[in-house]
Amino acid sequence: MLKPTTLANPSILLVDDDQILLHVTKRILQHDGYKVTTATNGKEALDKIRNTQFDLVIVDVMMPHINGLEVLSQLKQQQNTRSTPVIVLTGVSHSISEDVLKIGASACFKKPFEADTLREAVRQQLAK
Amino acid sequence: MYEDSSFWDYIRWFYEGFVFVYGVSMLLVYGMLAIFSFIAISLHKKKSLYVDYDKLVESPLAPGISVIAPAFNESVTIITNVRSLMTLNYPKYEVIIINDGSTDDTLEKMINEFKLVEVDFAYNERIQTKPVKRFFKSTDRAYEKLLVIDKENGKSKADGSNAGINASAFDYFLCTDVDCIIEKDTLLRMIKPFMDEEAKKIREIGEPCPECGFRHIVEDTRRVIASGATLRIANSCEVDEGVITRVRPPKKYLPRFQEMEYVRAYVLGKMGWSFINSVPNVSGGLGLFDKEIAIKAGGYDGKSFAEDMDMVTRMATYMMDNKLQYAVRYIPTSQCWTEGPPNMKVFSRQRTRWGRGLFEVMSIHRKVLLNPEYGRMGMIVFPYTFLYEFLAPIVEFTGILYYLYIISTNQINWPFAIILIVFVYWYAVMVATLAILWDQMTFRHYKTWREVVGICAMAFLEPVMYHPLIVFFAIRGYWFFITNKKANWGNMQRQGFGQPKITNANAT
Amino acid sequence: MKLYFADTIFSPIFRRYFFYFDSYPLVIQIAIILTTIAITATIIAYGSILYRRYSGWKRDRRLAKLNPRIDDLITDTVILNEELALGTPPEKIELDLSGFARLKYRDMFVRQALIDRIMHYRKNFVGDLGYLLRQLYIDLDLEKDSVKKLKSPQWNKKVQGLVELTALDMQISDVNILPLTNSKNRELRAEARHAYIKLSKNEPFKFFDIATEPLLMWDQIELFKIITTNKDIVLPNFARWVTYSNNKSIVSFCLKLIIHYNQTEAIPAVIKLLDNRDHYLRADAIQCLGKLKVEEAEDKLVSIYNNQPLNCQIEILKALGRIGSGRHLEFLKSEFIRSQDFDIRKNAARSIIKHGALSQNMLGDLMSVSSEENQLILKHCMNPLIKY
Repeated sequence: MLKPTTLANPSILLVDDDQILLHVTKRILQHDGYKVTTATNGKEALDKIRNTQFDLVIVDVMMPHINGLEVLSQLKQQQNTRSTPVIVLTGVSHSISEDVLKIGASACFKKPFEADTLREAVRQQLAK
Repeated sequence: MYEDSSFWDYIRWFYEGFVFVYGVSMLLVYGMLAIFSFIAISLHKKKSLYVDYDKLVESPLAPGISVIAPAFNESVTIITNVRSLMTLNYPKYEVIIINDGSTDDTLEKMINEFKLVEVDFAYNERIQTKPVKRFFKSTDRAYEKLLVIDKENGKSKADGSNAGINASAFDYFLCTDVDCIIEKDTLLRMIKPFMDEEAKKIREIGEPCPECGFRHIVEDTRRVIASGATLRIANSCEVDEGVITRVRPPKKYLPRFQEMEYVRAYVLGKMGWSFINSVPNVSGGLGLFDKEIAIKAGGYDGKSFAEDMDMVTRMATYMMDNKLQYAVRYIPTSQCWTEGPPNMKVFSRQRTRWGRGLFEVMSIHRKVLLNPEYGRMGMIVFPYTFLYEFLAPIVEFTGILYYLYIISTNQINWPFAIILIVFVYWYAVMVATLAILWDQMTFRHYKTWREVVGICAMAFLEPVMYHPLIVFFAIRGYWFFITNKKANWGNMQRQGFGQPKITNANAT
Repeated sequence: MKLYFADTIFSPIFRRYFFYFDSYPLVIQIAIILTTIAITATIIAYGSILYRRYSGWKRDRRLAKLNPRIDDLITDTVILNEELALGTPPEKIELDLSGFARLKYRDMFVRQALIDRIMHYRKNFVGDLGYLLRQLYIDLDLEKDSVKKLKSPQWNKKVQGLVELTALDMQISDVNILPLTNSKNRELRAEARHAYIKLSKNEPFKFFDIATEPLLMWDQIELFKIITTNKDIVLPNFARWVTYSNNKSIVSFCLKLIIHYNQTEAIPAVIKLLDNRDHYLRADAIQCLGKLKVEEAEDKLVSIYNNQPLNCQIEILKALGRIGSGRHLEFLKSEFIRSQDFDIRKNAARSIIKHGALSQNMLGDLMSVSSEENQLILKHCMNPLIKY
């Protein structure tokens, strides 16, 4: 099993419009010792990114206002956020993961996922 | 003048008899619709207890849908509305925006916001439209779904939609307005009726041909050719970035009457017709269509005043002419919010146009009326539309004149007249109230009690305040159709298209 | 004229209030009766709206209080389970249910909320967490509720029960489920079949043999999901049904599964399907061969091409592009140049381009000799920004 990270509280932005998933994932990540900020849509996420520097962004693809792909591509276009790793979550099964990786995501998970896989990925991305 | 008076008596007897039979049958039809829609809504509600639309979101088998929205001078709202169309919850779809010769910076705004570049697009003009000038795609992969078409103004929404259909890639297309606000799950819910019928297949009939041994092959599926959902009025709803955050009935009377009218027309009317597969029309504001059939039926008619009803009728007659089984389905949930005419000027234009369009559809497709070859289209849909939609304003209008006549000549039996008026009034109130109840069954719209009461009150005021207006505008539309058929084409068409803005209305 | 039912049922009342009711003309009598009905119906409708809104509002308020508590409990007991974090295998973990006792989870309303919530969680998490969520469902005795729903006289309740049990991978005994697969209600029948496929350990695909009614597209979506997400399922060779089934929708569905599982052993059966009379099935078969990249089918596809209806021709062109062996590039080229049909040219062009390096030279030639419209088609298909 994974131990809490040794880094000094890396900050993670978690974006999803599903309240339950948001809640649970937040708790899991907090439990692992990360500082977690949440947003329920792309617009909110971009606002938060503008004000704060995050070590990692986890974003769902399908969201109202501005979807996950857009958040991802905006992040990758801006100088100060280009290097921030992004993990994409998606409910869609086909083809999208290739697209996502092409735009610059570090990893793409299809829901449902195993909590440990996500934790592992988060740990890997932050270790880089 | 004995002869003369007996002639008038005869006319009068005939008129009164006709109106009586007409009135009673109309009330019966409304009663029936109320019952049918109740059954259809209950069934839909039962299913919603367990239907999981997420399964479709995750499925690689989901059929592709092209969302088509023409835009004309929508500069103020275009960006948020396109964004909201691009965040619909569906695994496989594209968004096609047709810039229909806007004179403002609608196109420029889109180009800047979505990083569009002009592309060489192989455009197949299966339905003829005004020339299409340019095609744009985004260089940003996040907007991969978006296709923008720049086209010469065709003076109608229909022309724009047709260009979108020509450029679309998928087998189904959703037709909407750029200023309509669509719920996120709309595509999921509206494609479901298509998937509830069997997949396409064929059947062999008759004896094998003695020479080649082949048997005649016919299509053997009932194909859903169109589906629609409830529309509502967005006028007083709170909207944030193209998403409805708070549903509220319109504050002003005129739009609020329309909200009630929409609820009755969709939740009670269309659902009832859908139950017996006799939907007369899929609204132009929101409709999902089978592209193959729509193209074969010739797409939208750019010259029509009721292009939506015209196309659905042509699609249905195409199916019947080719001996194919079809269905048009409605779902009761509210999926689309549209801006209703806020003032009398725009409203009168819209309704006059509708009246004119109805007359036009009736006269273009008159061969369908009472023609048994067209099945339920000819024997149910058209007779109903003709009698109770088309003739109703005329009958009511003559009825009022007749009333005035017998009052002035003092032939009226006041107690009986009052009893009859009270009866018709309450019946109308009942139908409207039931529609509101059916709607509340589908979803608990509105937040406070005040709002519900506000909409219910419209049921009581409608027969005296709103209905006479509708009758008047419809008759005006008929009159326009009969008198200056050709003269007014071309400059009347902009009405009812998109958000009926004041500037827009003044231009005509 | 007398109106009999009015006389027997209504008129005692009316006679009391309308003294001359019987002497009124028939029309007026009907009008009075219907007015009374209309007024009553309106009042009932109002009552009903009032009741619905009130109970709905109460329900929402209750849920709004309940759900966060459920969320916290589930998170503490399952998601952040300490034993799980320490590496105990999930089968050996005893869940601490003390928190749930305080929820008054004996209450039907609370139990349903719990079921819904657990199902939602399970939708998002698989693996050990999924296992523990299922364990929680069992430990809280929620299974009984779902089974009880199966016995309900209402078909929609039965379906709901089935959905809950399948979502949580519960066993349903054949005695309970088999009668439902023959139900008169289509929805229930379909759902029971799905449940059977998911939960039956011995012969999940048995119903493919016996089903005579068509699988609707929606059923196919559900079945596809059930089959492809079930890791325990033993996959049969779907060629069996492609060859022997008379049910066209099952054949077409099996073709989709063959594609998904890349079942190369089914190829001969699929090739045989090219002689089928149903052009929709043929199109599905061609698509399947293309997606499986069956090189040996290419010659046959090209040879039957001219006798096919448009939808099959287009599928053949697509298939040649997917297979991409390059042996039929000349054929694609001639179709592209020769055909009058726009879709054929577009698909031919796309398939030529899909050949990548193999078709580089040909594309250059085509570009220089083609008509303006054909050049446009080529440019369209080569543009990486345009996906379709």
